[in-house]
Amino acid sequence: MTPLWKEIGQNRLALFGATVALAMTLAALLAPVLSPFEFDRQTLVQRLEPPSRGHWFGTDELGRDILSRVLHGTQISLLVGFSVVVASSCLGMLAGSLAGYYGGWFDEVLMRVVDVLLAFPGILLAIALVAFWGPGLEKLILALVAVGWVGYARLVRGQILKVKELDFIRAARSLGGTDAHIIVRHLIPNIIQPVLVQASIGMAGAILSEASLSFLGLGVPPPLPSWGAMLNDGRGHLFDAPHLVFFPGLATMLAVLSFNFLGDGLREILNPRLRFLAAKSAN
Amino acid sequence: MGPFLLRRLFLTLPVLFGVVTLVFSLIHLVPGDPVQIMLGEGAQAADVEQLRHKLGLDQPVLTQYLRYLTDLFRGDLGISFRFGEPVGAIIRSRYPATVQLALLSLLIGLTIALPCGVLAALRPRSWLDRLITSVTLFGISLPNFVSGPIAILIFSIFLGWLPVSGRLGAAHYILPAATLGASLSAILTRMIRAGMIEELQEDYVKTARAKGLPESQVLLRHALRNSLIPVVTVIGLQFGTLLAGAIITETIFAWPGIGRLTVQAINSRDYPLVQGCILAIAFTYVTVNLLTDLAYGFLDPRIRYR
Repeated sequence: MTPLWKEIGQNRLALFGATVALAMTLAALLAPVLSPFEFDRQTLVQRLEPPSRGHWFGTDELGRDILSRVLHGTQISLLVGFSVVVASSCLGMLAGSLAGYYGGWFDEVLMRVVDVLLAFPGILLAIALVAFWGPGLEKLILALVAVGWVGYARLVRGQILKVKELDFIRAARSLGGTDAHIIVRHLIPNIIQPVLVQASIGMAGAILSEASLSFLGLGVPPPLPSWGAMLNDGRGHLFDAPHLVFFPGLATMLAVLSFNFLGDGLREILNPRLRFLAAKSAN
Repeated sequence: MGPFLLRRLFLTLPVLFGVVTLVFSLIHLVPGDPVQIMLGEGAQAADVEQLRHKLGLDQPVLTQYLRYLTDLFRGDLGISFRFGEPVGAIIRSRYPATVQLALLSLLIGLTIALPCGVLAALRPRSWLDRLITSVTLFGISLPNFVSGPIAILIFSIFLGWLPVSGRLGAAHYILPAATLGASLSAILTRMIRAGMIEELQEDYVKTARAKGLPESQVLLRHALRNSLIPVVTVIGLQFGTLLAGAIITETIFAWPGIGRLTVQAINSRDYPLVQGCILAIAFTYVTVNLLTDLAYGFLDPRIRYR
């Protein structure tokens, strides 16, 4: 069986996504080194300057270097994205696997909670939670996790319901395997692939949600740089300084695009039916 | 169809009840005293107490909850702190603008997605399919708060063709609806493409071709019709995304709808109005999903008898 990273290397979509995502991760980690200026250093005499040698991405209305702010914004976006995906997927896998494996009242209650949470479209519930909790990085992450775990729980529950009826699970049970052993050692490894795909697409979603909430003034509080907040600040200068919107917009798009590409590529790699169709149409 | 309809309606009730409970509990998530936050730091103690009493927040939580349910049942969502008017009346005045915007966006999305999805599915992995797939991925990844300002920059500022904001005439609808509709079309195109690719592998398509039916009939009357059934569900789900997306789009284009009202209410800490807006959007979403399910049952009889 070909290792996953090799398969990603052979899939152009996934390769592009993985490369850009890796580059962004490096940019986030090295932001303090790569940034030519402090992200919050104000030079009012240089406000709204277009891109130049001194400021590659120009400056904003407080004379802050946009390149430095975009680079530090990458840290915030990836931190939120990663935290939300890890916490949501762990919580969702725990709830979904217990509900799917045991069924009964826990499954019933969980599914009703899921139904209620899914009755709120898109990021509306996250907006509502942050509106009442107030802005802040931790609250933002918490709100996105409160909304995000539901999708994983539903996915994992559905997969567990299918896999738990298979013979190898019955065999493990008849050999005396405990419930915890069966879930952790047999069920989870067999359902992890769609979770990986969802996590990659969920990363794009979390980055987008963070930027959306920050755009509405409900995300990361200033002076921390967030792409969404930068876009909102730049809206008032669309005519005289469009670079204020262009660079954070491009960064948001690239980040979301890369994780969507990676998720799409992974879905194709991990889904035998899609691979079969692809191979068939290529011949 | 009758039992199916009743069953589906019956299943929606607990969800609505859960939504109401969650929206009610939002105000109790506020760190500290919500009334003090609404009135600001320098508020007089007497004013704080008066508003607390007016909002019923001086009552035990259970009493507040029962009062909230009773008022809601009568269509009373409370009084807006910012506007000094009933929340229900404010929402009713803004609601049509949002629904119009969402419906127009849906129309734009479908008009783009139907031909693109079918064209891409006809030859999977061809250059045209790759082009359409890549463009749709770009479309999905381009947030409204990026595409909106870009659209304003090009069509309003550089070309001067369309108004930047407001809702004064037909021209004002174009930019916000196109911004919302473009991202929707990307999602729908991918759905239609995936559905068509699957349907085109089915035996009934081979039979239709073997019978000598023209390709256009095979595609449009057989494969497309069947591949559209799951698309109906997606449209229902995406209507919710449109409503949530309207919060950002309406903010960008100063569209006087419920999305912008939500943001205004949040910024002015008008908690009763925020709760009302969230409830209105969630109720609309649940209703659209219910209608979608019913339509799905109508289109696919197997669903009704499951």
